[in-house]
Amino acid sequence: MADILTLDHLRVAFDVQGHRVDAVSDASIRVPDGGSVGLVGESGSGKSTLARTLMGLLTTPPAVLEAKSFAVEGQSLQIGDHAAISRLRGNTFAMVFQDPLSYLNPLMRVGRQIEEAVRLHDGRAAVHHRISELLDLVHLPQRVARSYPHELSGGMRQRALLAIALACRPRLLLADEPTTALDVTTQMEILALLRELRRELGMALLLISHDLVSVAELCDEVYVMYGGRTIEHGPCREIFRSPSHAYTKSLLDAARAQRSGRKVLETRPGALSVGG
Amino acid sequence: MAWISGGFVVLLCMVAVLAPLLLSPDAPFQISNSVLLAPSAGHWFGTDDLGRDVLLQVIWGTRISLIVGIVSALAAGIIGLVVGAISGYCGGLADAMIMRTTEIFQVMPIFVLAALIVAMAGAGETRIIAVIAGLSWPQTARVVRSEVLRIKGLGYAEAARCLGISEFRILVFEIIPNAVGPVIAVSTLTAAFAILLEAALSFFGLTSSDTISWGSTLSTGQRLLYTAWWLSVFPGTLIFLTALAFNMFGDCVREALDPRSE
Repeated sequence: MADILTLDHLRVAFDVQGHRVDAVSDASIRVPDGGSVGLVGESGSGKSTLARTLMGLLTTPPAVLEAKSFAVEGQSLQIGDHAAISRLRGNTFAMVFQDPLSYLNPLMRVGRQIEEAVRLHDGRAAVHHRISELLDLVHLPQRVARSYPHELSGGMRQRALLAIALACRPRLLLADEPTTALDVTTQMEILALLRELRRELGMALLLISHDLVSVAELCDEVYVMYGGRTIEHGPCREIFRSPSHAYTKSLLDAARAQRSGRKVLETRPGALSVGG
Repeated sequence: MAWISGGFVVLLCMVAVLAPLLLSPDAPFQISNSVLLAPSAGHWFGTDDLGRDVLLQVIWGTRISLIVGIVSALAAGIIGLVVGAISGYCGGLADAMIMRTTEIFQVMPIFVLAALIVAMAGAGETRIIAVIAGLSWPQTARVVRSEVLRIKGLGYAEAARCLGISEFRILVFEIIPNAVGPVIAVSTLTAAFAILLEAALSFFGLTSSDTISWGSTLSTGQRLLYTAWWLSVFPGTLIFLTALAFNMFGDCVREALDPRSE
């Protein structure tokens, strides 16, 4: 299977008052077309920075981007090339975020927001049909189109955000902790929805999460990030069964300990390097 | 509150529009022998020292006061919105230069400057409007800038960017509508301030004698405060109520525009 995304040795640094601070020091990731890949790691390990780099959301300067190679759908690109990356937004890459309320415009009805995204690619005539199609796709009732974001529940907001992201038929959906802000039952619904969408649309998924369970549920492959590096990757099953890196082991232990109700967690010596 | 203040503003607008249609243009200037009459059934607001009807003067003056208030607030609001949005969104050198410019404007005493300009260049509502709008847009610009700075970092601006929506559309459709609330609040303050400034300039006699405004009536009343209170009280109360109504009405408009406040 061809890769929709390959990124080798990405480095993202920020110039902060003359100091150069690495947010991502060495990350490599590969997403097969139509595949689903998980990216796990603790807070501050660089997961979200990686996603924001892919969407071209970092402003340079202060960010400094370097990558050995970066290719989208087999085409090689410069990582710092904003113009090229912005052409990918929407129809190649789309993104959903952690906190759906702050990612929806509070003054616009949901239907209008979906419409805005649809208009970018479809003609005027098909818009209404497409909006209702998208609402169906994420299992939202049609009346939601006339609602404002604050009138919806957390799960419905995430569905609305998904509908907007899917409006341009992306080839790869980046989901940055899409379930973190939701309660447990809603989390499961959103995960089920993501799996279903992937199957129906044949779209690739990059799921960024610190929740190992959701990654295990949804992904074929997993990358583990620690301190700005991707330290381990492989098929989900293998990594979870026999982790080779010490950090992955303690990450898995922590998750298991939490479930079995053990009170004292194993800690790892050392800290994230700050200040590069 | 919305209905009272809104109703009052609408009433004033109607008076301002209908007065020239229903009254002959020299009616408020009509002098008579009945000077300084107290309010009565014949003259509800009394008469002044030249026997002119105060009610007619107040009605006639509504037009000038409202035009000055509304037009200068609109002009200052639009200039401030555009300049502030550019400043906040572009950042960098443009931002720094615009902000330093607004600071220069903000240390200028508007009243003194307005009085100076009107005294030198001659009276006229257009000049007063130009002076007020030209000097009070920086306030709006600063408010808009800070709002734009806040909103452009928020999720929905970023989400729009992720969809491939152009920067210009993001600014116009995502950021500016969300920044309008405070602009309305500032603009209604500007409107009230403009009405007061016009009144103050007229009060000091810095108007041409053929225009009647609330301030000029008040100015006449000031000399006769002890003998004819009605000359001061009616236009003064109207200035007060109008400024208050503008402020309250602005608050209500802002709230009505925000779907979250229910």
